[in-house]
Amino acid sequence: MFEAPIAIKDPKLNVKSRIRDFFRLSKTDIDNSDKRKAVLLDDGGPKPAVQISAGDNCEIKPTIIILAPRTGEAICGSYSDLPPEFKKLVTEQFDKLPAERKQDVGIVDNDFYDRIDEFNKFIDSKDNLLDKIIPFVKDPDLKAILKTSGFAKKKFDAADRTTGQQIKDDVGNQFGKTGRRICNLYIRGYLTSMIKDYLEPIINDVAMSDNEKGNKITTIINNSIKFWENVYFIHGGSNSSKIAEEISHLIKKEAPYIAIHAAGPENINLAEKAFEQIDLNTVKEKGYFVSPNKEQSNSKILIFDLIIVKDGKVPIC
Amino acid sequence: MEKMSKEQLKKFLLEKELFIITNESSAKEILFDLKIKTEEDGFLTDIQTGEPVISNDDEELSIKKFGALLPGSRVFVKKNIAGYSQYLFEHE
Repeated sequence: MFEAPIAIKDPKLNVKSRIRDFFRLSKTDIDNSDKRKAVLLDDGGPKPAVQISAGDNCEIKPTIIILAPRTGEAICGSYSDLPPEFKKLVTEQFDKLPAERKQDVGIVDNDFYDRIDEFNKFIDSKDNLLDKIIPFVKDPDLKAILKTSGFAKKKFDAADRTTGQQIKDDVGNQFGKTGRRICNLYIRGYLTSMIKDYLEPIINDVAMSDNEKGNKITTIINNSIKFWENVYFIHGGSNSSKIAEEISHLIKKEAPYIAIHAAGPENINLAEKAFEQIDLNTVKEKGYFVSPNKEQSNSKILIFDLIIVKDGKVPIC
Repeated sequence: MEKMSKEQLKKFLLEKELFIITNESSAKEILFDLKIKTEEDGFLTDIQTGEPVISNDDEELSIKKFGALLPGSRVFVKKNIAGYSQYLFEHE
C-alpha cells in the first residue's frame, strides 16, 4: 500500500536520497531491486511499501517512486497497489493531445532519472556561453547537440572523465558522426573560441533581426563543423602570416572549403593582412572561387568573411 | 510519520505533473498497461499494431535500454542523455 508519504518541500533536496534514507535502503538496494537483493529493516519503524522479508533470499517487490516536481512531494510503493482509476488516467493521457490532457505523467527509469535530473539542473543554470547562441539556432537537433556537448565539457572540466565520456558517447549514438564531431570540438574549446571571437558580436548586433542572426549562426556552425581544420576565427592572438601560410598549403592540397571569419576592427585588420599574403593567382589556377565580404551593420559592428571554395560551391559532406 | 489516507493519495495523484520512477520490473508492468509488450528477448512491441517500438534515435527499443516515456509525447527515449536533450528541444 502507499501508506508512507514523504513530503519534501525543499526542491533542492534530492528526493530519491530522502526516500532511500527513510526506508534505510542503500542506493544499491533500490537500484538493484530487480536482482532481488536482500534488505532487512530491523528497527520496527514504519512498514515500507517495499516488501521485505527476512532470510537469505529476501525479496523486494518491484518498486516505483511517484514524484510531483511542482510540490516536491514523493511517494513510494508498488505499481500494482495504485488505484485503478489513476492507472486508467495514466494510460489514457498518453493517447491525448496536449490540450486535452488533465495531467502530464512521465515514466522514467530509476538510473536514468538521476542523469536527467542533473542535466535539467545544468540547463537551468544558464551560465555558459552556449545560452547566448542557442536561442538563435533554429534546428532543434543542433540545439540538443550543443547543449549536451556543454554538459559533457562541464564534466571533463571537473575531471569527471568517465561521465564526460559517457555523455560524449550518448551524443555520438544519438546524432551520429556530426554530433560526435561537434561534441569533440566543443570539449576541446574550439567552439567556445568561435562563439566568443565571432558569433558573440553578431548576437549583440542590434541592427540585425533574430531571423538573420539565426541564419548566419546556423550557416557558420554547419560549415565550420564540416571543415573545422580549414576555418579560422580571428582573435587578438592570431598570427596573420601563419594563417596565410596554412591557407596556401590547404590550397595546394586542394581543400574543398577554406574560410576566415573576423568581427571588430582589430580582428578584421589581422584577417585582411592574412588575405593580402595569399597568392590569388595560384588560388584561381586551382579553380577556387574567392569571396571576401566586409559588412557593416547600422549598429557599426564590422564583420569580415573570406570564403574560398572549389568551383564556387560549398561542398556537401 | 503520518500515514497517507486514500483521500491524500487521490489528491497527490491528481497533481498536474508527475514522474513515475521505475525499475525494470515495474516498467514492464506500466508499459503493458500502455499496450506495450516486453518480448522474451527483451524488445518492446506495440500490442495494437504488432510493430516494434522505436526510440527517438530510430532504433528498436529493448526494456534494458528503456530510459523514459516523457510527458506530452509517445516518444520513447533510451538511457541516453542526448536523446533526452533532443526531446526537450523538440518540445520547447
